[in-house]
Amino acid sequence: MKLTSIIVDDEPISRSFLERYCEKIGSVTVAGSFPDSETALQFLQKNEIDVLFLDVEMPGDSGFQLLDKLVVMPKVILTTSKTEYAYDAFQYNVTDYLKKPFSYVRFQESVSKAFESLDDKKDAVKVDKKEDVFIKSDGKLTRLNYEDILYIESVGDYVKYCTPDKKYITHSTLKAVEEKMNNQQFMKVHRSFIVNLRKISNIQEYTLLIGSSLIPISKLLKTEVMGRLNLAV
Amino acid sequence: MNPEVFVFNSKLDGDFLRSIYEDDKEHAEMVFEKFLKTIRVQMNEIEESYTGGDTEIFRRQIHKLKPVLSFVGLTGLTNKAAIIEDKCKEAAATNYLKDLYIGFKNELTEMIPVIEDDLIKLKA
Repeated sequence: MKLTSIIVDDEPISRSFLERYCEKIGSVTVAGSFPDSETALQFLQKNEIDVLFLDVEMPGDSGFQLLDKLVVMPKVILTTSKTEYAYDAFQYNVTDYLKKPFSYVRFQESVSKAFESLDDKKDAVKVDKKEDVFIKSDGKLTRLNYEDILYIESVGDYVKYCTPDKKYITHSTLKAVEEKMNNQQFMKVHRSFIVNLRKISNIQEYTLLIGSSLIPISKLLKTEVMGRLNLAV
Repeated sequence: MNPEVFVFNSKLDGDFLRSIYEDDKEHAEMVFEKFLKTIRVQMNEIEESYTGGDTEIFRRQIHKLKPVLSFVGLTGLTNKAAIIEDKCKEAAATNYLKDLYIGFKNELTEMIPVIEDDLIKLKA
């Protein structure tokens, strides 16, 4: 297995250094190398990666400001020449903290950590391989792919499955749906809503946006939601 | 780059260089070359920010150069850059850091020919 990564650092020699280390280790592919947070964000909005090698101090947005803008968090390995960001690194739940300049051995350790943490995630996903659900709506059974479901809303004795094209109403409870769709991709964020975590565009306080729908986040579940997205509260 | 075969100039931190390049002589050569291509421009930018007087702009320039110095074995200068960076937070203007900066700049200037010599040896 290979990890897909990007490198974000304003210093060109530091970037090329990491590129060379990734090439040397063989298990890490560099999908992009960016001199600032803004260009990296553009890439991350369109592409999924496993590992983000991230400098902190850069012109424009800092590395932490970039993390604030990500909805789905890859494994983050901070690469900085300062130790004073350790507390922030902890808050952002980063996988490792490489103090520049670092040796090849130290880099190898860091990549191992990324593999280990991704293995944990993979094991969790293995538990639920199911990728679709049949729902009874309008007198027929319809197969919905998980990837097509934006969110599920409780409406009295019914639940409403919302997809980009259509809404399907079926007689059920959110609790039953939650049990049936025991999947890493979905999470109950409010007593009336289960959302597809991959479809969240942004989060603001106690509201999240999926498509054009604003969905409330329960105060009690906010920490858990942020944790599932690898975001610090 | 077997350390028994290639010996860096004793003025450079050979132990550290071996820890980052191991046996990858081509990598060392590439970094030394890139460093030499950019260092004068970076030094000019640092000089301009020093002359400009704004400690935060000066600090950022020093911060950017700091790890790069170690990539060519100038670990002592990385430490000195870290001191300047820290002092920038307390100083009202860059001229309060004159002695530190001049010392740093002179030492770096003196070390450039050493790196040039090692690059020639790396290429050989």
